[in-house]
Amino acid sequence: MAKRINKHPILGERKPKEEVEIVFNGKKIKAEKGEMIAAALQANGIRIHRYTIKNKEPRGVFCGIGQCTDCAMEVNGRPNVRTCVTPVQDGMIVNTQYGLNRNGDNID
Amino acid sequence: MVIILIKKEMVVIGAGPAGLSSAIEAAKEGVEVLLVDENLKAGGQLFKQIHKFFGSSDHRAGLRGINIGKELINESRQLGVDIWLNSIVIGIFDNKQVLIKQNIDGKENLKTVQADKIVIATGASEKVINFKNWTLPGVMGAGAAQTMINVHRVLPGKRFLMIGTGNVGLIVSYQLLQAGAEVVGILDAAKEVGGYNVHATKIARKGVPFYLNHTIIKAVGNNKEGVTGAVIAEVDNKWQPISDTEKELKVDVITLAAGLKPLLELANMADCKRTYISELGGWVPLHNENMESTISGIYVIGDLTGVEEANTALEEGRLAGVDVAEKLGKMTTEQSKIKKKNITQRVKNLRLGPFGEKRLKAKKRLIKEYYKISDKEYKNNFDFVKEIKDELDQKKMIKSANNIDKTKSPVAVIECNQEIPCNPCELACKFDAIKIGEPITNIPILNKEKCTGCGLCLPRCPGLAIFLVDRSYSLDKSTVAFPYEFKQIPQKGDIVDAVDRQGNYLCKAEVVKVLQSEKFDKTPIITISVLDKYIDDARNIRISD
Ligand code: SF4
Ligand code: SF4
Ligand code: FES
Repeated sequence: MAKRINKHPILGERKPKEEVEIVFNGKKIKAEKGEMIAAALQANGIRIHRYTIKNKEPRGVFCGIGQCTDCAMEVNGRPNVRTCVTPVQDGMIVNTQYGLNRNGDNID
Repeated sequence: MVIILIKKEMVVIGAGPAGLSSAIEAAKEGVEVLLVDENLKAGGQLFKQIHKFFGSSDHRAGLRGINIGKELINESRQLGVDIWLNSIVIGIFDNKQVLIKQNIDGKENLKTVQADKIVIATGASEKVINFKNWTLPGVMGAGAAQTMINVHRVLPGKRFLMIGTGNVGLIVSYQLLQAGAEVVGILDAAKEVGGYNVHATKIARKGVPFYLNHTIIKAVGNNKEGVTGAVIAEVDNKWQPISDTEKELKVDVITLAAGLKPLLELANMADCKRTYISELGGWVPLHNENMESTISGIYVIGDLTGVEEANTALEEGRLAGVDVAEKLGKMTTEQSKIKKKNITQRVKNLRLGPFGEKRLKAKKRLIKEYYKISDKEYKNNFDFVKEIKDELDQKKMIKSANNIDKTKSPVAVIECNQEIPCNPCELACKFDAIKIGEPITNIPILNKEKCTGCGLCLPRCPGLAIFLVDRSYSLDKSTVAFPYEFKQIPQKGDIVDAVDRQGNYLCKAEVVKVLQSEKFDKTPIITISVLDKYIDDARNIRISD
């Protein structure tokens, strides 16, 4: 299970940042101001970001730096947002992406 | 959408170590520089590098990557470099026009910048390796895990399996341990560790098993949880898995450290000629000794031109920066010649030793091809492969002294026996007891007579490869001091488990000293006492929480 790293021998004590709330698949979860969506999800134990169109296979963070698009989700109604390089905002609505959007209506 | 046209003398694409240093070097000479990066923060991958870097003092050796990043950004700001973040270069067009999509507060602007010179420093991306179920969530690049733990400070799992024993695999494994993870193993199909010994010994001392001659057969898991395990097996001499050696490890994250490949899209778009050199990570754009590509006025630097370490990226950036300044008439040919000579010498030194030599040859080939294609005259600047070989043959590898004079103590024990580009230990010693000299890849040699046992070299060694042994501690006990970069620091008087170089339990040990100092940059030095018979093996401790 994922967790936040509060104590670190090199980076020191983690300074608590202002808390914000985001809505993941209809459920409110806690995040920290300015952190990337993917980090907030990981900290909440969520690591499935989307399912592929054809084979409906799950995908999660793979490159972590915005290059692979595996972490794409539907954010505030916009699909294909790379969550590893997009910071959270209070009240942001984040949904698992099925195929090309949240509903998976592109999947026949 | 409005397109704004701006003019700049030099546009640098990519604000990693290479891009930043080229911007700094040119700005120092008065060149007007625009530095563009698609990320929200400059510094490239430096901010996830929390370890101390190798190299010489010219490369800020012994400093941690994060701090080097901060320094470079400050320096470029002070020099007036214009930095555009969250800005993606969409294209490079004829006559050096750079089309940039700038994102300011959620609004997108298109800007075209007319540049005199363009420096492309787009870096590299992680290579992937395929095995069954490799796309399951929980399989990720080692770099992704590193970003998660060191930048976002979230540990993406509990039990990790690392695939690949190159320096990235070794360093990230160490950092996972520092972040509080369990590393259940590090695996490589090769029969030897790919990266530096000093990095490998750091994690071996923590008891991480090395599965050499092994391969990963598949990730185990399901569509709800992602990875729950990994099946690995031994390989035969044809790299084929041996069927009855399969075993399953319980892990929730599998990290891949299969190497990096240069990110060529923009260089291709600019029509820079390229070639395939596997030692450099695959396709790389050709360039000359000043880092200029086959398109005049367009430079290519850093990992883009061959995956190496941050130090070489810094130097290549400087070379390009100096050449740009010279070509723009900001400095005389004489001035630039001296600067380039110094830089070239340093790059050359970084590429010595068995690790650097392959890259050196590859780089030489790259430059040769550049001259073949661009029919310019080949200048023999990089022809030092032979020279180095001769040098190495003469000096032969000398193992560091491990035999300790029983009457004289304490004394340093240097366990660094590979030719790597590193010398902070030599600089740290005020008593001239450590000799590396030129080139920087020489193996450190300790002069036991001169060593006073002051211990100053211990925290300075990025490889954590120096120990201080005192045999005179008591009648039947000796002490060993070592750097210890983990969360839970023991206290004086604690009884802890002493472990050997593979992390195996040896004996109980008493902590006799804990030294922490601002100067050590978060590398405390722990001294433990053990019975004399354990002193040559005790190299780390295990603290039960
Ligand atoms: S212990 Fe002190 S004197 Fe000995 S090698 Fe290290 S720095 Fe030099
Ligand atoms: S002993 Fe010296 S050369 Fe070896 S890793 Fe440490 S500082 Fe570098
Ligand atoms: S994990 Fe690759 S783009 Fe986000």
